[in-house]
Amino acid sequence: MAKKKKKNKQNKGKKSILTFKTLFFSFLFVIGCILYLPSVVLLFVGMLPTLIVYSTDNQPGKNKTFTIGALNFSGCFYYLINIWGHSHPMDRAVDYLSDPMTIVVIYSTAALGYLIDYMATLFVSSILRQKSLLRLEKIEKEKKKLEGRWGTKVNGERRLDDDGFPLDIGGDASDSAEESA
Amino acid sequence: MTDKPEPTKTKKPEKGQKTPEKDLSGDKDIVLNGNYRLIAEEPLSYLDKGKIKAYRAMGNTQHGANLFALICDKSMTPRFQSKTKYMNISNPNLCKLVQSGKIFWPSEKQERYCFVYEDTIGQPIIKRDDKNPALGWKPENILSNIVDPMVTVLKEFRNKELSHGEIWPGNMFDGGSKAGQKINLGECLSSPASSNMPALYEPIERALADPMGRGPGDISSDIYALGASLAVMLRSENPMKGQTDAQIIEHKIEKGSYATLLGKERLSGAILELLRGLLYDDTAQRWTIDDIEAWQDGRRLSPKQSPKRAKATRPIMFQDKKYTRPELLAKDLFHDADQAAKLIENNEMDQWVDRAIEDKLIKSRLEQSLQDIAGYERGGSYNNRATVAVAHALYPDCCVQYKSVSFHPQGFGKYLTQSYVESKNIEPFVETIRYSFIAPIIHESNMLDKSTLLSNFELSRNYLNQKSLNAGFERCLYIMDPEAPCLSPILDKYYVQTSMDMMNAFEDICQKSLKATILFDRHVISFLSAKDRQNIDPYLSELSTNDPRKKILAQLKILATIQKRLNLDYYPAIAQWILKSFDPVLSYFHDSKKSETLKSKVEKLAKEGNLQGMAALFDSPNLYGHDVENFFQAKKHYKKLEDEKKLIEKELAKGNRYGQNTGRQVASVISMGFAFLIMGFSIYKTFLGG
Repeated sequence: MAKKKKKNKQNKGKKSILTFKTLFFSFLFVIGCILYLPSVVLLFVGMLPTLIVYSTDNQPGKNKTFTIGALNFSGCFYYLINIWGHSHPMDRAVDYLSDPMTIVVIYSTAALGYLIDYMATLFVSSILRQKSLLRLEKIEKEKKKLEGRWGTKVNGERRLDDDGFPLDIGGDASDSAEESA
Repeated sequence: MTDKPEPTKTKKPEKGQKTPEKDLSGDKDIVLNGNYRLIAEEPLSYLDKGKIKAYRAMGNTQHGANLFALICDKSMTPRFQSKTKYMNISNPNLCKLVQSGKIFWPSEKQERYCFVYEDTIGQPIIKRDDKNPALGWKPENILSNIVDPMVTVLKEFRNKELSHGEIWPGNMFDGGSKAGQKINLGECLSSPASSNMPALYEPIERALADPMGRGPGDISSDIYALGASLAVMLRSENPMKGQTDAQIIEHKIEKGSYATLLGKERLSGAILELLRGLLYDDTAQRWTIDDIEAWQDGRRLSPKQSPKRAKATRPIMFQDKKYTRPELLAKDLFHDADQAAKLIENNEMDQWVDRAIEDKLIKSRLEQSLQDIAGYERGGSYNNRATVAVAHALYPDCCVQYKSVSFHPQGFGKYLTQSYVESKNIEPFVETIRYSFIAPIIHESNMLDKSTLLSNFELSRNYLNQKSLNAGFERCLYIMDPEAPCLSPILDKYYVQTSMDMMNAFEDICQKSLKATILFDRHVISFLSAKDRQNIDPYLSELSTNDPRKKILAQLKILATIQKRLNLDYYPAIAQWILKSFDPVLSYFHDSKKSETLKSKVEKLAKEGNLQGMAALFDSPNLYGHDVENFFQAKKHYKKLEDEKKLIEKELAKGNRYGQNTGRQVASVISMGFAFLIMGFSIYKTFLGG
C-alpha cells in the first residue's frame, strides 16, 4: 500500500510538471506569435500546402510532409528575410500576400517538393523491386546448389534422425542415404 | 593348368617376367615352388597310402630327378608342425623330404598340399592290403637289416621329440635291394600320425580309437609298432589269421600283445627278449631307446615284472555277454549306453568292482567317476557321458568312446576335421566340447601337453556357446586342429593354411569373377580369428551388422589389416571386388562433393590394389561426424535462405507500396538539398545580389 501511495505521489508530481511545461511553452509560443506576427502570417498562408499534406500523410516518419515542407519553407524563406529586414514588417507581409506572384512562387516550391517525392519514390521503389527480384533469383540458385550437394533432404521438409537421414523411409540409414543421393 | 589359381599378385610385375610355375615347361605341368614337376600321368600306386596318392616327380638338375610326390587329402590334415623337425633328420634309412607345398591338382580342379620325397626307398616289403602277415624271416637278418637301422631312425625321432606314427611293414621299403638288406622307413607327414596304420601295430589303447582319433602318439607307441612289425616279420604262422581288429584287440587284452602276435612261435633268447621288451602292453614297462641300445650292446636286461591285469572273480553280464576283465567291459560299454547306465544306476557296477574285482585303485576311480556323474546335467546324452566316465574308471588308458566316435583327446582335432570334411555326423564332437566330460580324463592323464589341451577344450566350449561370427562350431574346429586348412565352401578349390594364402585365394576368386557376393563366411572369420585375432576381431561388431556400409567397410579394414600386418603385395582384384559393393559407403555421405572426391580416390587406389590406402581414407573417426555437422549447417543456411525469400516475396506482394518508405526517405534528402540551395540563393539575392 505504501508503495502504491508513493507511485501515485510521483505521478501527481509528473502531471503537474507536464502541465506546467505545456503551459509554459504555449505561453512562449503565443508570445512569439505576437512578437513575430508578420512572419507568422506569411508562414501560415505560405505553408498551407505543407499543412494539408501533414494532415493526409499517414506514413510513419512523415517523410512526404518533410519533403514537401522543406521546399515549401525554402519558398517562404526569401520573403521572410525580406520582412525581417524591413522597418514595417506587417505592411510588407500583407504586400507579399496580396501579390499573387508570391503565392505562385511559394506554392511552386511546394509543388516541386511533391514532384520530387513522387519521382524519387517511384524510382527508388523500382530499383528496390529489381534488386529483390535478383536476390530471389540468387536465393533459388543457392537453394538448388545446396540441394544438389546435400540432397533434397536439406530443405527441411522431412523429419531427420540425428545423423541427418529421413525418418519417414523404411529400412536403415544407408537406404535413406542412397535414396537421398 | 588352365584353371590354376595364381599365386600372390606382385606389386608391379615387370614386363616379360615369368612366374616360377612356368620355369620348367609347358601348360600341362604341375610345378611345386618353381623347381619340382609333378607328373600326374605317372601314378606310383605302390606308394599310395589310402586317400593319399603317389606320383612321379622330377626336380631340376640342382634338386635331383628321382622323386615322388604324395598328394594329400583335405580330410586328413598333414603334419605341418612336424615338417621342419622331420627335414632336420638326416638318416639314410628314412625317406628324405625334399620339398612340400601347395599345387593345383588338375584332375580335382583344386589346390592340394603335397610332399615331395627322394624316390630311393624302393618297393614296400609287403603290400599295404596285407595288414596281418606272417613273413617268417630269419632273426639274424632282421637284427641287422631291420632292428639296427630302425633303432637309429627312432633315436633321431626321440631326439627331435617327434613321433613317427607309421612304423609297420607296409611303410617299410627294400631300398632297391632284393634281399631286403637296406630297409628304409617310409614317410609320416602326409596324414595325421597313425591314421594309416593298421590297428595290429598299435598299442591296445591306441588301437581302440578310430585311426584318425589316435593322436600324435609318442616314442613309446613307435617302439611298440617296431616290436609288432618285427613280430610279423619273424613269425612263420599267423595265430590271429582271419580275425578282425576288434578280436585281435580283445585277445591282446586277454593274453597280452606278445602272445597275440606270436602265439606259439618259438624264438631264440636274444630276439625273444627284445620282442618282449618292445611289446609290453604297459607303457611304463615297455623298453625305451636306451634299453634297446643296451640290448644291442649285449647287456641283458632283467625282465620286468608286468603288473597283472585285474580279473573279476565273478562275471558281470552286459549285452548278454559275460565280462571278467574291466578293460574288456570298458571297451564295450559304449555299444549300449542305456544298459550301461542301468548297471551304474542300480549299483550293479559298483558292487561288481567292489566285491568281484577287489582292486582298490579301480574302486577309488569308480567312486570318483560316480561323484562326477552325479553332477552331470540330466537328459540328452547323459547315459553316454556316464558311460564314458565309468569306462575311464575301469580302464584309464582306454580311448574316449562316445556314441559313434572313439578317440584320444590329443587326436580329437584331426578326427573332427576329417568327420566334418567327409560330412559325417559331428554331433558327438559338439557334445564332447559342450559338456566337457572329458576334462577329468585329460586332467588325470600323463600326457605332456594336457594343460594346452584342457585350455583348448575350455576355449572351444566358450566359443561354442557364443553367437558372434568368430564363434560357434567352426571356431572350435580351428582351435582343436590348428593345422587344419580353412574349410569354407568359398575356398573349396583352395588349400588355405595362412592368412596370406587366404588373401591369394580371394585375389584369384575375384580375378575370375567379381560376382562373388560374399568372401567372409563363418569359416573364414573363425579361421582368421584363430590364426591371428588382431586381423579380424576389432571389426567383428561392424561385420555382423545389417548395415551394408559398415559391413563392407569392416571387410575392407580386415583385408587391409592383413595386407599391412603381413606386409603383403597389392591385390587389385580384391580391391575391385570391394569397389563393386562400395556404393553404400559413398552414398552415406550427405556431401555429394566429398563423396565424389572420395570415389575418385578410392577408384585410383583400387586400380593399384592398395587396400591399406583405401581403408585409410575411411579410417578417420570424425569422417562421417564432420559430414553430418556440415550437413546440418547447410540445412540451417537453407532455412535462412527460405526465410529471406519469404520476406522478400511478402514485400513484393505489397505492389506499388514496395520501397515507398525508402523512396520517401531519399526524396526527403533530395528535397532538403534543394531547400538549402534555394535558401542559400535567397540569402545571396537579398543581401549580396542587391
